[in-house]
Amino acid sequence: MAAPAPPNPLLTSSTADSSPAVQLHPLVILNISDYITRHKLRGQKGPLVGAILGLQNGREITMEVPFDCKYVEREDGSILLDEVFFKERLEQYQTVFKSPQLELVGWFTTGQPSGPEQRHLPIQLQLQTDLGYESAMLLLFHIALASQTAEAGGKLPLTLYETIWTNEGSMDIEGPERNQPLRFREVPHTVEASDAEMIAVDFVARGGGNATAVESETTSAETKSNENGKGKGKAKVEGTEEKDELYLNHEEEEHIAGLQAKANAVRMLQTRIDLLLSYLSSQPPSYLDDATTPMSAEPPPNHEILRSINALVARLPHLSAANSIVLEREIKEAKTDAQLLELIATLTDVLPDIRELGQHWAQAQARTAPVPTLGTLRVDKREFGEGEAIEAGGPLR
Amino acid sequence: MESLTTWELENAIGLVDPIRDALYTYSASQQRAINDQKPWRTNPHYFQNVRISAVALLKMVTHARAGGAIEVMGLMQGHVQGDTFVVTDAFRLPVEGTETRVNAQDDANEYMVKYLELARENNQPENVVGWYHSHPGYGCWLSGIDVSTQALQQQFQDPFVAVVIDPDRTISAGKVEIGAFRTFPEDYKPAGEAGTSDADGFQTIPVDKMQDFGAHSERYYSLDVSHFKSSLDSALLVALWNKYWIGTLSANPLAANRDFSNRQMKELARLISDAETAHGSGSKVPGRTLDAKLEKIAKTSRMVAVEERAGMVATLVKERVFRAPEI
Ligand SMILES: [Zn+2]
Repeated sequence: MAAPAPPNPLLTSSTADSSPAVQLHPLVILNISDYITRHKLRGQKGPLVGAILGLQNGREITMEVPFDCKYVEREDGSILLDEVFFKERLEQYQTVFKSPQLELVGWFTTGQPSGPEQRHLPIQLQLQTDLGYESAMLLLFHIALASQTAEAGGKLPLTLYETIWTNEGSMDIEGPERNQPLRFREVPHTVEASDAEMIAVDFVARGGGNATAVESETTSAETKSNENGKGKGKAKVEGTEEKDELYLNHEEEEHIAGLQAKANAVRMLQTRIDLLLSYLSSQPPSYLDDATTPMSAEPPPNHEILRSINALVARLPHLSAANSIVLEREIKEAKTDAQLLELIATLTDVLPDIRELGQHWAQAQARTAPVPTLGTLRVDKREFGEGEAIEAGGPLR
Repeated sequence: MESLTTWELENAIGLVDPIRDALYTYSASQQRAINDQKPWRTNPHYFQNVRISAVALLKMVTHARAGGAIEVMGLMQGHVQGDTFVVTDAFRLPVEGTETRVNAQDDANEYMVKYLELARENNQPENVVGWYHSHPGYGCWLSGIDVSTQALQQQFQDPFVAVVIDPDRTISAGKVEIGAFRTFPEDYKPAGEAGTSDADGFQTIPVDKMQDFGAHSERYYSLDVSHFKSSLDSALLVALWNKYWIGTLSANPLAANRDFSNRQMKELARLISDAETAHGSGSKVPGRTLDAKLEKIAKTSRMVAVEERAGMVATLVKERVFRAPEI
């Protein structure tokens, strides 16, 4: 993080001996997003606060399940969690998140990218001291940055903090917490998703469905939408597109979405490789190759990064060459399978048409050459004493 | 006081679009008006769509998956708009397993009441509009017990929808396997096709469940399921994708889904031979049924082919990108 102009007095300058490894799950992020959208559109006032449940194993922490919390406002305007609400809600969640048993690992609210502020302290202290969650972390969601996530190279608009009690001077902090030498320290995180969670996120990310209201609220009372409601519902869901000209069927949409996902991933791989290349080309030339190069380059090369790039390159040949014959055969088989299925699908696709053709044929047959078919049938019918009309005779019923 | 204004100011700068995000609004009076009218009373097919929010979907899918081989269940909060159930959130119930469900509902009831009370206290006034449960490995449809549970709910808690998720197939197919259903009134006979035959997905019902499936499939129909997300969700999903794009490239769906597609092929073979028998001489199957069968075959094989093609694309892309150049 680039240091902002005035240093945040609530952030500690001391560095951690060992930073906790935090795995953040998508549900936490999307839940905060949901909360913000609801809050805004329903014209609700006041801060957004919530608890985060997860697992803590030493310095390894997961943040998996969030829930919104009710707050109370003290006379001085400071914000605290409503303790009755918090305790009851926590118990309810822990009842249904039992295997493994999730614990409270932190809380979330909104805040500036520059870090926690005075107003965040009361809840942090409440959790750590009154409620006994000494290692509760703070997730600050930066609404202001949310619209720039795409440009920001996909950085999520949030920061995690752990706290430490320090004996750094607290002179420059005002308000009731001035005597608490509690400081925040930024903690890195990774985004982790379980297999099912990943599929669900992918599902949600891909589809076009935005949250435009369902029209026909009033009209649908009289719509007898059962017969062709299917197609209509689909069109409504896909929503924003123009009508027929651009209409693709579901398969085509899926196919395109799949190709797009691949293209994006390849593009991403390309930018990562470019990044490595530009990093390498920005390095000073080696003094081993050129005697005139001074031995101490400025700035000195980062050997750790260079070593891991080297390791990556060294691994590349092992990835493909070894069993390429087996691989090639497998790919060929897969191709044949896919083509065969394509053929089956094409064939079965025309089955209804063929059947219809058969029926028409039979009818035409009956008209042009009535004597042999209808004659025999008439005899049969008469024998069984059945009704007059003969529905359809011929090869295909 | 000063503190409160800071919070609000900050919340006002948002990525929230009142039109695109309209489903996140809620009007208690409007819902009451709809509830008084009960337009679904006069039309057994009244509801056609279910739209599920990103969070609700994520919560339900992960719950179903966490249950493993055990059936789990929970409730969905939301509202009704026209012929659509809008599911805004979901929560778990402390209930597991099929047999216990009917009795356990009483235990779960207390939990539900308390849960909703707190939700209302914290500005989430949505009522329960349905329940979800998992069918690990046997597809999305309603069993006999499910049908009676749902019918009971529709009698006393309507509007109410049943959602079923198959976590196993979600994993094997690499996409969320989900279905939504409503039962018909006791005395109602649907015209023509059976309940699930018009489902979007297609069903492979294990042999041991076949009887249960067949016995009740005419008692309900399925609704179209889709999801919705907010503008802010969309922005965040872009960022999230940056974290898991590697999975998109390295996945090998052909291998991962082999079992699943084999089962689908078997089902296709069964459908074809079934239609063949129905078409054979001396068969008493009416023409319309045969039409439906042929259509189902076409639909099924199309679906299998599409999945196979997607898998093939993944393999080809990987081959082109990662194969070392000939040296
Ligand atoms: Zn069931």
